Amino acid sequence: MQKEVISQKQAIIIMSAFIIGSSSVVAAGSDAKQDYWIAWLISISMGAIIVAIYARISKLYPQEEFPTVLNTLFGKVGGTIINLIYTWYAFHLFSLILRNFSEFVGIVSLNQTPSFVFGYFAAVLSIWTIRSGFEVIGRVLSIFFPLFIILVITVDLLSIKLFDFDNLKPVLYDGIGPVLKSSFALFSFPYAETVLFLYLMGSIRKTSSPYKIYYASLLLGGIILASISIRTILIIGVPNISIQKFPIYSAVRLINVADFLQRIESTVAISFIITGYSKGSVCLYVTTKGLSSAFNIKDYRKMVAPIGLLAVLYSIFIFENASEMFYWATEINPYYTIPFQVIIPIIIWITAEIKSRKKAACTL
Amino acid sequence: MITLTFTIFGSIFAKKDLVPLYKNEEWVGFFLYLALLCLGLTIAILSDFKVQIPNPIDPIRKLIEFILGIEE
Repeated sequence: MQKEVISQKQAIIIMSAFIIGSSSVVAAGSDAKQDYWIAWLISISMGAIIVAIYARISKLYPQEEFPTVLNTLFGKVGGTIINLIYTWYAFHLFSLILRNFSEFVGIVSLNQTPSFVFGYFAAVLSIWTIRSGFEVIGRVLSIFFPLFIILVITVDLLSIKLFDFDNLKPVLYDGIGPVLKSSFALFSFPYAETVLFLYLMGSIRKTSSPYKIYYASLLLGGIILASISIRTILIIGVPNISIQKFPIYSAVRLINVADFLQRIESTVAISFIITGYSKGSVCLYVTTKGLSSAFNIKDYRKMVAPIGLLAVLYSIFIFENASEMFYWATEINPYYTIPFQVIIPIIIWITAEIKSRKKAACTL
Repeated sequence: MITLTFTIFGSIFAKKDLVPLYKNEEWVGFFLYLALLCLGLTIAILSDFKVQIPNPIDPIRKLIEFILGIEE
């Protein structure tokens, strides 16, 4: 199988879209209320620390597939176990994205259509992309990501008239506790989810720097995400955010320019399709890659379809309703993801540092 | 409906993937593919019959709720 290669620019675009992902419709970190911007600053700082670890791991083993790195560091058995842990994480995340997408479309527009229909079509799109090779995501996003940025900026500009800066006051009214809780939630969803990009780093060009990719994406994705969330707070305010399932969508609905340009909330749906597709495809790629290397299957592309279809079915029964989904996202997910995003990467990093230093000492 | 949709998409992809796997005698991939499809078909049928399927995230959720002291 020919090795897939993506450029640094494509990697940054994919990762930025991945970071924005479903956060472009689900208001993550809303516990901080009007202090969202403080929570964002803290979370992105925490994100900057953890991605340094991810980038370092990639830097120590450039051009190497992540499952191979795990096997080198922990042996065949240990490496396969960690690989399968990440495979599960990516599979679970892909199902969550499919469910988010199904709930979003079901709630905001097609209420009578069974939700699994949206899940199936979203998954088939990702399956087809990954079957065609991972670099296809890079090419697709090279076209659609600039369009997405233009959409976000346009909506920001059009909504300036609706901004009420009093919605950001009073600062720290409820103390620092909810802000820290939100920062933690934002850190785990979406910044630290970029741990899955360790699987992609083997496919980036030799000249690319993992640090550049991680930090540029963190900054680009983070700024766009912050602009979307702060815009929502400024338009509809905290009380309305807490009663809405998809507040970002509801906020954009209010934009009305001279009774001519209105009902532009479909832009939010378009944004979600672009970023959700990117995130879903990355998760599907990681799941397939992980499972294929655990079973020594040469061409991972052959396994994409059953895994993708299985993820749709899993997304149907993972939650009974939308409330359960939001409860998981806000209360459970930040803690559930700690081992995948923090503990295991730190163990991998320390082991990688020790092994590479030993190797360097031996060669001297 | 879930089963029917799964069968349609599953058949389309299986035709494209399973035949080359069989021809190239890649048995691990072939049987893993079949196993995943069978698992999917079983879940799809159970979902259509509204059978409660054990959810793998339930124990995780309960454990985290227990640690954090969250009451349902």
